[in-house]
Amino acid sequence: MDKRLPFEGVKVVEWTQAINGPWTGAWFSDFGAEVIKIESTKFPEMGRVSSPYKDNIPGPNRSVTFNTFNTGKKSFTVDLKHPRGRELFMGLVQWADIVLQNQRPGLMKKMGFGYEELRKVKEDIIVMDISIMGQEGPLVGVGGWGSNSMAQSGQFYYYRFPDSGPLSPGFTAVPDAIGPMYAAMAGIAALDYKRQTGKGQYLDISQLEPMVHFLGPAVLNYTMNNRIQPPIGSRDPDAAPHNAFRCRGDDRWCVIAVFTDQEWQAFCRVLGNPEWTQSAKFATLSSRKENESELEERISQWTMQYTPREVMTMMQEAGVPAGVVQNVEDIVDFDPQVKARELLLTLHHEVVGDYLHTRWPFIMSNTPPDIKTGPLMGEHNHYICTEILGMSDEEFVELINEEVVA
Amino acid sequence: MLSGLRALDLTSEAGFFCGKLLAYFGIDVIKIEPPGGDPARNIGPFYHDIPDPERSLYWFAFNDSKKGITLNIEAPEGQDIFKKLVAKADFVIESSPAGHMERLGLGYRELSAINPRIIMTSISPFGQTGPYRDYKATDLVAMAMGGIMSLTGVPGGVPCRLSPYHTYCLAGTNAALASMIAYHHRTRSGEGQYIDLSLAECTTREDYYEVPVSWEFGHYNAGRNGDLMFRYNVYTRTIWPCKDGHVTWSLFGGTIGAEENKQLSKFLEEEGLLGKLKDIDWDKFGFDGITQEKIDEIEEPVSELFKRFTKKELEDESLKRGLRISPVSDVKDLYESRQLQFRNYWKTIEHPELSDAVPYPGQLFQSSEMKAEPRHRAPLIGEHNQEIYQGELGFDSNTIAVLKEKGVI
Repeated sequence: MDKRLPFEGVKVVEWTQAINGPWTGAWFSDFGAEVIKIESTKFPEMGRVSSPYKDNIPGPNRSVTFNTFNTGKKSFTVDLKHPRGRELFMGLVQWADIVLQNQRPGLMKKMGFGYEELRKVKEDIIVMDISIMGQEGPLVGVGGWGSNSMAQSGQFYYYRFPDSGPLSPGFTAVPDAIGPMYAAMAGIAALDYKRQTGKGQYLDISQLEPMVHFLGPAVLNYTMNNRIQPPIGSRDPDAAPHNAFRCRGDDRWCVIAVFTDQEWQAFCRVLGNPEWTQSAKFATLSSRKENESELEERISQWTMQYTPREVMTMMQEAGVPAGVVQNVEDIVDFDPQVKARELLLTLHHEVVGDYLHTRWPFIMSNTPPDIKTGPLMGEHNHYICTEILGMSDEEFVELINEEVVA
Repeated sequence: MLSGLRALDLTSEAGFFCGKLLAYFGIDVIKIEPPGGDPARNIGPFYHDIPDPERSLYWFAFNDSKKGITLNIEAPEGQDIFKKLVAKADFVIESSPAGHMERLGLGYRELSAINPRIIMTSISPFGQTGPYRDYKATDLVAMAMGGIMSLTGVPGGVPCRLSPYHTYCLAGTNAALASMIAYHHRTRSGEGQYIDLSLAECTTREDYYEVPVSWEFGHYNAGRNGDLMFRYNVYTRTIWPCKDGHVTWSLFGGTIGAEENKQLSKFLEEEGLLGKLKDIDWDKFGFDGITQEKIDEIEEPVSELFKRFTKKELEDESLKRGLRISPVSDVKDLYESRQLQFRNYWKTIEHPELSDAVPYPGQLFQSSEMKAEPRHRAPLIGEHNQEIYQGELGFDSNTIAVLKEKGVI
């Protein structure tokens, strides 16, 4: 790529695991930063030991999960508990603009890597502590996973139908995809602050706090109206029909969302203006809301005659928002929009081989990201020791022999 | 912080969140509404349940900390005024249908000719290119098309929407981050750029497990599994009923789960529920080759255990014992969260017109140097017209009166 990427020249050291921390680092590496991932061969991070593996054979270089969240980074396996390992880490801190970590809150401090310690090594360092609940507070001890912040932030409460218990969107705990964006924004703002003032800073970024904003209106409904807004499933107070409808095929569904009168008229035309659509029961939004179950039943009778793609096409051509409830197979193999916009990239990994990777969900005209696969464990040990830390090959070999770099 | 910068916010619901976040980071965000006010002001709930465009909680929540002006950019005179504003702005964010800005003569090409440093971010249902570029999408439609809705619901039953307005917030977050990346680039290169963001792509990217993991390496659709999580070979429970609601907790194997599982066993033993689990060596326990029967055997007594306690009690036990149990919080629980209270999370925002001051969700993170949090309530209709049109563009009161009469502002 002959164009400079936005973060070219920005240096990041990360000691992270699972998704929240690693994905933050990936925002920087994909857009040009040099990101060094500190790893341990003795205690590989969660992503390295997460199934599925290539050919179902476990191994730290065989996990697809790891590669998804660690694109374009350099891996350095070093024993941080060894005094020499500690020195190497501090050497990297001196080199870096940003130190990024999401270990258990308090661990960095305990190991002598707290902000004050790092500042002694590099005055203007930006330290990003990333966690589920924050670094301090009565619930820090619970910590947990993306599902914990989903529960705490109110997201789980609304993931359900009015008459069901809360539901789980499978393996995807959405705050794990969202938290890293807030961490990345904080990091960019800190870089800008440093550019303007010359000062580094300490950042304590939780998943929980930004997630609360996603339920803003419901939260204000409590703080302003003292009301716990009930869950509404797939319906919407300002639209009808607004739901998923069963279509032809095995467990196939489409969604239809009718907000305006104009959309309702168009919707009726697509159905061929059957008599029931002219009834007073369905004439206005409020009457449709009153008779919503009957409305949905009648629509299902119609949608079941068609595939979800047929329903979507008929509706969209008439100007009615509608879409297939696509599963991963639809997205990978059939969606012409995904193909046209090259949403899925094929990356190549030495051990895993070719695999699909979803790019970030926007296209930048001048600085598209340069997305590369994740590193093998310890792949860049030699480069980091000799090129960045400036040691000789002999010293490097000595560190390997002493199992400091392993 | 990103101070001394200005964003012009033309978005509708799909993009409100982007401008809100930029404002939290210190950018001067001007929400541009059509004369008469943005239609989203009619979205409920309303302050004290009185429907009114100045009382919409939806508007309050997603447009706080912005300034507001009214301007009809569909009219040629409005377009001229908009271009004057673009000349001095740093960001333009918009969410009109693909191609609409070009048709108005306000596409990126035109705007960057006026101001080459401008960063323009377009949020659209499916992006500016491709066969679906003219398709419409709401929050629900983007969720469905992006794939994440195929995972939520009970087997065979109706797919369930994630929390309301989720996709809009997700897209706004992506758009704000993309704009900030572009800004960082501009500080070094001087050049602006155009960002083409798709709502549907946001939900596909959010669903990080399906592509490539489940499809490419297992060739399956995970499907809708109620309150269970499909983990490649078995199902484990994510949501558990308790005495007064639900909690979340997930079983893990390996070194990740060992210590916690031992603590949980101790808890079960104290409650007389350990049973067969006493024979499990948690240091050797893992998911490789595990059967569903084994999972069920473990989860059954855990389920019994959780039913004996309230959310609060389980949270306390969790802290005491080193477990990772969290309550499924409703907005009241959320507001009363001791964690958020401790961190001074809630920020009181004044609403002088309502003679009220109300707690809003607060900081995006904590920092030793910066504050990214709500600054003031959302703008009233045309609240900053005078400041911008008279104060900045230097229109005299006569010109403003004429523009008003013509419905331009």
